[in-house]
Amino acid sequence: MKLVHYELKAGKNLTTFEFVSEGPKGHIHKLIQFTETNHANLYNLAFGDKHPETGTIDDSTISNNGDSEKVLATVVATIYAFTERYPSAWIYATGSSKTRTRLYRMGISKYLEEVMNDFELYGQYRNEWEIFVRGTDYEAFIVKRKISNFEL
Amino acid sequence: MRTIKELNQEKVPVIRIDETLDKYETMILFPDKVDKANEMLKTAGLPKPADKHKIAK
Repeated sequence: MKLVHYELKAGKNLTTFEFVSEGPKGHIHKLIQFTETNHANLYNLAFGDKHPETGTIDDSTISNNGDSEKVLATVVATIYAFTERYPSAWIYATGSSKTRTRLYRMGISKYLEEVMNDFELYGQYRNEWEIFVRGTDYEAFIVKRKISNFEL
Repeated sequence: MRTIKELNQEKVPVIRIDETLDKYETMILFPDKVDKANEMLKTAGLPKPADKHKIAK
């Protein structure tokens, strides 16, 4: 999947990333973080806006900066970067609202074949995991890189 | 030489290391999300090999 994304900065461990969304609302700094969960080798993926003055993070803001596809592509790029460093990691993600989870599901569905080529991808439905298919109203997602199929 | 724009169209992106972001390594920026993940994973756990064959009905 070679989508146009924003330039990325990261801390040395590649668990926190920053980029700047550009659009009609101006320049919005965004942070992406992969955080360890209670499950070994399983990381939660979350991202949100960074307040330019206070540095506080808000993952509920709806930026409406007209670049949601490029923002999602940037998040996907960080998954490639993160799994390049941590190839055996599982990554869990869900939206901060049902609407946002649906947006992520639509984004995944659009590029499903390419995603499935590089990652094992599951959706959470009624508290169970299943292989991701289009059209199911998943509550969360989990991915793990397929090492053997990974190509630049 | 390829441009940053070209390099950024590769699957694995070019990342600039910024030491100012290292301060976040020990901070949980999205605690609600992590709590939610831990809660959901408590019941669902990780996918099992058999889950590869499940499809929602």
